[in-house]
Amino acid sequence: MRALLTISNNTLFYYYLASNMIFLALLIVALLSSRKHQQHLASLRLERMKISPLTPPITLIAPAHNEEGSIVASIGALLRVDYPELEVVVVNDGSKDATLARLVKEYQLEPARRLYLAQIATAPVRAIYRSTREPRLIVVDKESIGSKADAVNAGLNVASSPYTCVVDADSLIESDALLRIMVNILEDPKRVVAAGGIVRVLNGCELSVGKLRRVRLPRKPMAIIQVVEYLRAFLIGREGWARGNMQMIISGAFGIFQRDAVMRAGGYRTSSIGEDFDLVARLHRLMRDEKKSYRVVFVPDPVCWTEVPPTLRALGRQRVRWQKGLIDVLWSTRDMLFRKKYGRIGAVALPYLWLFEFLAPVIEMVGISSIILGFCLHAIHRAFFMEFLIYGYLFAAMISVGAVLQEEVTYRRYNDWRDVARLICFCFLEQFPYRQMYLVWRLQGTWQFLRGDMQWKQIERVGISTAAAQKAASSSVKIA
Amino acid sequence: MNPIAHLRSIHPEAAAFAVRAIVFSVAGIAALITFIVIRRRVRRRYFDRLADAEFYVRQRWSAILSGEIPAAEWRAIRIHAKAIIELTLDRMDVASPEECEKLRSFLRRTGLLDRVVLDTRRFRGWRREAALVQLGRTRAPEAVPVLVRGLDAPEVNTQLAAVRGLARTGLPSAAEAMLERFISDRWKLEGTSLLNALIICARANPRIVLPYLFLARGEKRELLARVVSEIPADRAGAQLGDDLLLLVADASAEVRASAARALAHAEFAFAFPALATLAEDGEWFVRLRAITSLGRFAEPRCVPALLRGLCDRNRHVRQRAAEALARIPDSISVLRDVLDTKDPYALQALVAELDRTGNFDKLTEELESQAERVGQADSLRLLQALESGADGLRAMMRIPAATKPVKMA
Repeated sequence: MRALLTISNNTLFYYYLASNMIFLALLIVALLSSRKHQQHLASLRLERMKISPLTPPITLIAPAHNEEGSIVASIGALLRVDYPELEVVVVNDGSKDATLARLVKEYQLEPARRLYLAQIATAPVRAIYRSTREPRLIVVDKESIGSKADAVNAGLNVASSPYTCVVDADSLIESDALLRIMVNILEDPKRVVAAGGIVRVLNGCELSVGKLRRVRLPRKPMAIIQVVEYLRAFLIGREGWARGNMQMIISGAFGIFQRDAVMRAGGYRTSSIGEDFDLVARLHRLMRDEKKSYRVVFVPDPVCWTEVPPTLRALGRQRVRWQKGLIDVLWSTRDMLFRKKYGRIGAVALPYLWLFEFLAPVIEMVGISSIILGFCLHAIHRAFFMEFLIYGYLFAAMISVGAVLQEEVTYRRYNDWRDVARLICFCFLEQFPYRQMYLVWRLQGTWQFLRGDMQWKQIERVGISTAAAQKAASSSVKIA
Repeated sequence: MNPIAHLRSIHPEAAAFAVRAIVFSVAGIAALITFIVIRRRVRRRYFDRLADAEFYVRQRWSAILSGEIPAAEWRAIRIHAKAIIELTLDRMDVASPEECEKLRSFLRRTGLLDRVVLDTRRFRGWRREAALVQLGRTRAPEAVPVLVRGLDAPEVNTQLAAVRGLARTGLPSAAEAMLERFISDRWKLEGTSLLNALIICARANPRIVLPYLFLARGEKRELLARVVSEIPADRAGAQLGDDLLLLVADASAEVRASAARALAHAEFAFAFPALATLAEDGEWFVRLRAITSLGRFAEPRCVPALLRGLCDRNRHVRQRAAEALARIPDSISVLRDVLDTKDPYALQALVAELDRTGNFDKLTEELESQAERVGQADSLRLLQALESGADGLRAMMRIPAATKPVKMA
């Protein structure tokens, strides 16, 4: 028994050590990479891109399902995005409320006799509308089969630009975000097939007429912890992995894709739970199958603001879904593991995801149980037990403070001293008990996936534009 | 007994590691927080000083510009000089050519131009890159040789900054310097920035690109052909003349496509025969470019070529042909010609384009109101064709889903 516990504890020790060392390496790579990007921006002027004949058109695809309260404000915000050639395709995915009626009224929509070629099969399209008020807007009204991916695929069929960007109707893109995300694409248009921007937490920020007026940290601890998580995930994780062209996720809330590449990959998979992750994985597979030199990049300065779940229940549902999405993609890409053809994706990125994302909750749970058992059976010395805990706690906190530093030396969205101080405090508070709750949610997600429970549970949110709509157009509103 | 000492006696290596890791983590956290705090303070002080300097400059801008306040008074104060350079360059971006020349002579007179030149020499890395772009923004001819030195730098980012700087000058001499390096094998820089810079700098005289274009091979040849094709109307077509025809027969499809694009800027009589040939090219994107260029002329003589494009096997070509045909003034005649093709997809493409441009209802009304002139039977036939085209479009939307979706809770 003691020997078993020793093996288990040693495994956990080396597992933690490896995980922390990888994160430390990612932090260092991300700090260097961000610094380089910042310096590169010093000699770049975005307004030149606006007048260049070489700046390609972009289609923004916004799927909408029962969003009557927010749709008008959301689409208004998308149309205000500063980009020379923009097309906005809204896909009304079988809404049962007045989503379409609101759009028809606000944008004076008329049925269009438009050529619709279903390059990717979707649920039937009822009608396509064009706006007499806003020529850049196209609305696709389709039947719903309960899948966001299906709605996005219909949008892809309609899109006429070489690049497409899928945005959530409840997210807010900064006005220069598309210009910024295109910087890397324009420098290497042949190779860059996809680019992801950073998604930040909207909760706590002040809005005015669908625009971000002031960036503030949320008040609720649960939301602040998510700010730290998002900073760590994007500014360290994505930045670091993208440096080695091993970025496996481009957030569904904001990312640009070469339309042709997405079409060749078969569009979004309707049966997938994490359709954004799934698409990037399939793009990697496609490019490597076609033996093409390609890049999937992360650009840290174009920002999309999104509302995170403000309650524990909603957060739990989201994280359970993420875990199921992760397993779903890992399972569908299992044939890529350690195959020469898939290069570093099969040799590094996917094994990392299996070991440190999918198996993490299982290994951690077993490890923690064996440490406690070992401690009770005096197989582990009390001092070592305490030191191990302190080390684990401090190292994780250091990585989180590193993410705050990364934010501070680069993009500095949180200007207020108090916000930064609170962020640093939450880097320490995040480790207990939030991390343990997250562990449970991930185990729950794994269990549900193994049982075949693939239900997509709705996550309740306040809604940017719902809140905005409640206020007068001129007044500002703060997201809870 | 001290627990750490006790632990050392049991697991000496593990204990030493754990202690070292804790010390490392604590030191790391302390260092990170200290860095954040100090950096915030330093930045705050710097930006306060910069704001003060900008305020000082703006308050006295006319006096500084006229020389009433001599340069000797502010040149030595680094932050003031920096604010003046930035303000001058910002104004040059929006100034008329005469005003721009005045601002440039101010930069020369006060030695600020020399200071920027010096910055491009004494700095390395991103500071040099920023100085190179800043120098380009002055649009001074004497900046070109300095920027050209940046093209020969070993770092790709410095080369890129020099290209951006040269683009800002917009001078043909800058284009020649870039072309010389681009054509040689020792320079690897490519991409949109270079393409953009060459388009801007060769705009005044597109002919300078041609010798390099005929020398270049492979992707370089394609990029230079693209430069020629992107130079705006009344420039390329008028100045390149017969040289464009050589590109029409090029072995590279990309070059032929660029020739088709460039011909859109030429005289119709000159461009039409070449475009009609390119509209039947084996590569779809060459046909696409040719059809797009033909469409720009909106000439009835283009209709046969456009009708062939409307029946093309590639949907992008069909769409462009439909766009072009919808621009031809005699819509009734065009619709009749399209019906004669007996291609239902061609009809659908035209109907979709007529609707997109707001001409569908107009054409329907025209057919109804001018039934006598058109002929009752013909008018009815054309109206029915429009309706069947629209029905065809509606039918295309109803294609079932291929896979089973996830369930909604």
